[in-house]
Amino acid sequence: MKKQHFLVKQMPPEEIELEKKRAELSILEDDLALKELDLTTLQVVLEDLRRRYLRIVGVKLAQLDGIEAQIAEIIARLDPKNEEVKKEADRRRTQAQESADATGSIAAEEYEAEPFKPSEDLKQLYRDLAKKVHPDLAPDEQARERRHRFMQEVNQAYSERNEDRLRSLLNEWENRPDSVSGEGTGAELIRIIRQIARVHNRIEAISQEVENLKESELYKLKMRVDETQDESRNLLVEMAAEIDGQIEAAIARLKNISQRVEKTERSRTKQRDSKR
Amino acid sequence: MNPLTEETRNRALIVRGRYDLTVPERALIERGLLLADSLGKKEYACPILNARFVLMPAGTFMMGSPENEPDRCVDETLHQVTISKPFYMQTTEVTQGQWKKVMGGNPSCFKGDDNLPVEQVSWDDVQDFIERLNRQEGTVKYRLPTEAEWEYACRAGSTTAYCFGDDSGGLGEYAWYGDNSEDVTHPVGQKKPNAWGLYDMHGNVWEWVNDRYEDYSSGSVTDPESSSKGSDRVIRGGGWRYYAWSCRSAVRYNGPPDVRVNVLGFRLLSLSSHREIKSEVVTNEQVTSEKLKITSEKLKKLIRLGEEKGFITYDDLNDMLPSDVVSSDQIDDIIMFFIKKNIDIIDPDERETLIVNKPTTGETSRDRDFIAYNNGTVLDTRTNLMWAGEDNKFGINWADAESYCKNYRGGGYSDWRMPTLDELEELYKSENYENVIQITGWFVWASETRGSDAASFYFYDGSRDWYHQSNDSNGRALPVRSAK
Repeated sequence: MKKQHFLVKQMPPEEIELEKKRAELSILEDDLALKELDLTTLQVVLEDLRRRYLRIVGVKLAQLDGIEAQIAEIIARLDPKNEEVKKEADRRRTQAQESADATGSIAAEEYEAEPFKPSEDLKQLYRDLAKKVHPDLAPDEQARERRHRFMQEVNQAYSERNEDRLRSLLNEWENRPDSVSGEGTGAELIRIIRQIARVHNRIEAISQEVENLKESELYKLKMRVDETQDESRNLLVEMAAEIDGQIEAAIARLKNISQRVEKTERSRTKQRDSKR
Repeated sequence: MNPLTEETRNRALIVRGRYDLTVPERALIERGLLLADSLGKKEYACPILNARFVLMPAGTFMMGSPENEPDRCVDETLHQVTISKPFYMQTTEVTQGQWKKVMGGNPSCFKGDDNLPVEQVSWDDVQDFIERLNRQEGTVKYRLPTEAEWEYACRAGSTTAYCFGDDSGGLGEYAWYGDNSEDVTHPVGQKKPNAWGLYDMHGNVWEWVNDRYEDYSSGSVTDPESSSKGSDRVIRGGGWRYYAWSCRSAVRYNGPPDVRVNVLGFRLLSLSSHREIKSEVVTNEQVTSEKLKITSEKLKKLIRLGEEKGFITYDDLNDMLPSDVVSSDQIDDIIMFFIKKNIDIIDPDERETLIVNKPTTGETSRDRDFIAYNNGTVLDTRTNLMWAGEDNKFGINWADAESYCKNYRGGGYSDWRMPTLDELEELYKSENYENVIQITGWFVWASETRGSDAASFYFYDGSRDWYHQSNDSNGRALPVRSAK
């Protein structure tokens, strides 16, 4: 007993410090993995909402804008000297063009109709991977770069809800860990202290990112969609239906106004002809 | 910038394809948020009535009462009903103040406070009220609730005899009824609301609903409405003069649609979505004109000017456009309004020609094949038909249009009649008929009938259509006679 005690007491202070830091880092790793999971999930959920919104609602708004632009152009033609209506027609046309551009590619693409909801298994896999692979836990700069690219693949697989891919990534990683060259206690202590600092930074940055995302329009939209989901409503579908109604009304207006314009033009031509 | 944040950004860019929204994307999403606001609102205020409405969620409930409910009536067959769409329900019965805002008068028996519920209104009166309200607000979203919607809203999730439980001892906290009303109605909203925020669903005045009184179907149904058989309409909720049991959520009574009694009023339902009302959206000119007329005095002047001259110039329009008209939608509406009133909007340099062409009141003028007389009639020399110089100027059903034509006495003639489709088409083909004959509606009724439908001729595009003879929203009467 005494001997052991003695030995422990004889342990160099840097080794004691190293043990402490290892423990600290281990706790931080778990925390970091969880925070990465939350951030990535939020990003994927928002990206998924962006696509679904543009596909379900955006394309309808673009269609409506197109009709409104046509109406504005007819009004401008009716009144060629009025700069205001001309400006309005230009503005409508630009808006219609922009809306069409923003939704054009998304309208054509295939995308899962189901909103992104990761399973518990998928989340656990992601956390396991994040803990092992995270670039901020790399022993050196070179490894960090490699991990960075690897982590991108992990994120990609997660966003695609691809469990198999995540498993094979995990497998792959475990078979080729960073080579840790032999280092002294002092060097390792410095490395771990640096890792801890990086992880702290990263956790801070993640919470900043989450804050930023929560201030975005998309996040506000997500909140509204979630609220209505609780009432078993589908907000995006309701919005699309609402815009459908507006589109029908706009088409009716367009039809009325263009018929009338045609007629006025016909009678003007007649009038001119009869004057000759 | 924190380099790690930048790293996150880059990473996200790769993972998600893009991180930041483009400006047009953001604009689209912001519009979506505005739309979501209007769709998801839990509450809604009618600007004309200053009445509150709350959102009733879609859902399924048991309508009627279980056989062991005390004082149950035989017509309360319990059955499952699904309300498939959310809707807004007025939180109180329609008050006398609200009735006056729309109708002018106050038919109620108990007076003295504008917040008293309106009574002595028949089901037919209520329809008139609703039609006017819709027109004033430029919408078609207000109506009476169906019987199922009413009971669903009254129960607010409860399955008991009353919205608060089975014991009528608690009714006094929620309702004015025989035991506490002292034989008068009371201002709305003084008692406790039900779980969904609706006041006086039990007691105060009975409430008309939209449906006719008939037996329930025994199976489960979705959004039920009564058939068109029978004439009595259902009334619900109990009233100030009645026993507690008659205020139960499931109780059904009925009354003829023209009866006016001091225990009977109503409350409104408002549809929650544009989608449900889109079929009516195609702008009714009546609606547009009402909407425009209340916007501004300046606009009224402009309309008067247009009506006097038969045209306005773009200069007139620009000079007199109200300052609060800014959006192109509004300008669009105004231009459409003039177009529909057959007031041309023209370039100033064309004015001269048009003045010559336009017959002025009190004078006889000639416009190509037409001779306009100072008695308001117009002769088409091609067909030898004499036309009234203007239609009846308001929406009219076919039968009334026919008698309007027969009773027209323009020029002292008594052989006026309704035109045929061919006669109307011949008139339309002349192109310059607009200079001498004013047609203020979408279409003009023609004399041909087909069962309960009658023929109509569209002067907008020269097309023909058939409408139910009772349609009185957009048609006009235009008398014609054969000149000797």
